Amino acid sequence: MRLGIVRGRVVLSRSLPSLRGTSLLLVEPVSAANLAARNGRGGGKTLVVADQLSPAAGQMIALVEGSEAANPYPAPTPVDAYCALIVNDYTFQPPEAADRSAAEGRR
Amino acid sequence: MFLARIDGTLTASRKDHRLAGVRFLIGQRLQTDGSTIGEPLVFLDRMGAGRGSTVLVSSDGTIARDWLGKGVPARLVVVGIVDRVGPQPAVEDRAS
Repeated sequence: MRLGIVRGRVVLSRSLPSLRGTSLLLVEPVSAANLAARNGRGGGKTLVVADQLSPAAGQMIALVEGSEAANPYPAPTPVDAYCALIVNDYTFQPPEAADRSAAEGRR
Repeated sequence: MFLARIDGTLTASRKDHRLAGVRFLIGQRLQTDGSTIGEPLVFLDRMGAGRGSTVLVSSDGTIARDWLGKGVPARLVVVGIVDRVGPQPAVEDRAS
């Protein structure tokens, strides 16, 4: 699972029948530098995540990607990302050297 | 499968009900030279890996399914704690 910040929701006017009723979130994945800085920023490529937990905007979630994202749905669903949990709290303390190279890698 | 360094933990009171009671770790995927690559990842753990550990992670979702049930939305599971990573002998070394 990656971590992401909820930025909004997506509503479809038309969809495949198998997607009907599926709640969709707009989510920005969180980079290592931003996770360590606890700055509320994401930094990754925005994606759409199916959801049944209704997190609020700005909350951090963990999202499952791949075919396992469709596991919670009883019928086959064209979903490849799913909100598995809403983060309450976390610790994230990479060793200093790694912290630095990760920060540089994002620039 | 890939190697990752554990850098933290995560708690979540609201989550898919099949993930109740699971321990979540935050880690970063490792390159050959020990540097990290990609975004931080959340792993499911039942091996007791701690911060600083190097772990073996499988992205085969059947492990999570066997552990937590059929509908579980999870894929990355810690399947081993790494003791050491050493050199693989080259072809000429093997011949002798």
